[in-house]
Amino acid sequence: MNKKDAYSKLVTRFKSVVPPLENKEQIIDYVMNHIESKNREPGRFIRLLDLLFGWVHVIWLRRAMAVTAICLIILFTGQQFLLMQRLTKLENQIIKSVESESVIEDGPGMKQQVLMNLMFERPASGDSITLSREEFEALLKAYILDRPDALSDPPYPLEDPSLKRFFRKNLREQTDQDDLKSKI
Amino acid sequence: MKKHYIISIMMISMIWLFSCGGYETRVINTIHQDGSITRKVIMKNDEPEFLSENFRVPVDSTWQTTMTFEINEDQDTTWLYTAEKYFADVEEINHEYQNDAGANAKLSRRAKFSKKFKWFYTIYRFSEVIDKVLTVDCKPSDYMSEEELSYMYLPGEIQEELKSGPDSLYYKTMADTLEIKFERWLLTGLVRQWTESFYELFHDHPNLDITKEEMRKKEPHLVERFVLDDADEEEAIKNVLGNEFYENFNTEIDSAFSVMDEQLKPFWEAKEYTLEIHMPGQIMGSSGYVKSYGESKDEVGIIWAVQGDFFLGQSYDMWVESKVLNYWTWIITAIFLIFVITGYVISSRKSNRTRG
Repeated sequence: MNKKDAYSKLVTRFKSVVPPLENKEQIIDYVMNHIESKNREPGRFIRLLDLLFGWVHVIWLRRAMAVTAICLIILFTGQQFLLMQRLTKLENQIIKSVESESVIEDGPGMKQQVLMNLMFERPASGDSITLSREEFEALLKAYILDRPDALSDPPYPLEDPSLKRFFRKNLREQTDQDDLKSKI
Repeated sequence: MKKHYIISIMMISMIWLFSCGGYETRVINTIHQDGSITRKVIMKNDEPEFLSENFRVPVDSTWQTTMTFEINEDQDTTWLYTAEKYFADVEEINHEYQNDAGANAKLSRRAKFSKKFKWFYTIYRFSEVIDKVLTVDCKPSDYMSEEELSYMYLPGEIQEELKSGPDSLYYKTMADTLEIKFERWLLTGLVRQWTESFYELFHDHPNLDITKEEMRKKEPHLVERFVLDDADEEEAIKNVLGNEFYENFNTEIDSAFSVMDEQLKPFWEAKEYTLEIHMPGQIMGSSGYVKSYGESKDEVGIIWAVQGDFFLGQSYDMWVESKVLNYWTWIITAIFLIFVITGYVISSRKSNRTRG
């Protein structure tokens, strides 16, 4: 075997073995861009494009940009979804529409109703004493006048319009009941 | 001993209500993006006299006030007293609450404001909180269902509308059930608070042979007796804890009632009013009720009824959240997305061209 044959064999052997490339895509991109940039005419627009979109050739930057964009889309979608849910819940809380900024007339609260019930609707067994509206007002008036811190000019007990309505309603309901009607 | 504590309280409560002017009051807070607040208070009375000690919320000489009147179909005159003031921040409102000398001076109230940047939106939150009166744990949610509580928190006017509306029977039944449950909850709260006061004062009494835990176990029986004995404390205590206990601790029981009475004054003496909040941007959540008004119905406020019942067992948090679009972030996001997509398009075109 001469030297030439040995050399040819070695070359053939090298040719048959393909070295593994880990970043094949990157190398291709790099080589192609290099060839392309050599071939094309350098212009202002191209330079601007390169400047703006040069990041697409940097893998980590390209991935970071994609992740940021996806995050923004997810954030937007999530916020819209939550917003829709909250608005649907809020729609159930819409109570009415009014034309003006009028004062809402409230009745007495549950506290007053329960206390009134304790007073009016639960007479002790064997106790037939019930109070009419006039008697109750007189009682309250007497109580106010009898208090040490009573006002020199006490107001009329039922001057609160909402309580007036409440008493009227409460007493009307009771007078509608036959068994109480006779008592009152 | 104070007999018929409930009845006495009821009398005092009613007298308190009668002796103060029946000012129907509406408080309107308009919140601005910088956290400042324009507060407007509208009071309504049958007389042209508005006494500051009867005001539900603090209003003083620093407010701009006007008085007008309305005459209804029955020729009844109603006087409207409107006061308005600009507050630079919630701390100024809180300062007024702390120095309040009006009808609700005993209430512990405070306002809060916050804004959070959430990229696409900025979230604004405003709340007015009234601290609970009971020092013991007695939540209304343990006694009433969510639906019943929602109904209870509705302004009286709306409750009446529901009771006369298409589902009137349903709401009337609910109102009746609610009344019974409310009574049970109220009495439980009172008994629990009294037990707490009693043991705080006399836990080391030499003759006290019943522990606080044992007393707490008797709580349902005490409440039951309260209901059956027409809210007569003497009878209820004698029935549940025995005559001997009552005779031995007559004075102590009375003292505990006095302490409790003082603690519960903010509840018994609370004067109701309506609170309304207007927020910047679009409202996206609230614990209140949305009310739209104006000719185009596009003005929206959130309203709450404020009554003693609502803050006896738990703090009453009247909060509202709104969002304001951050236009600049939308523009930045759009530009960024277009930029990224364009970059990818250019990149893929180049790849295709070179491969081709």
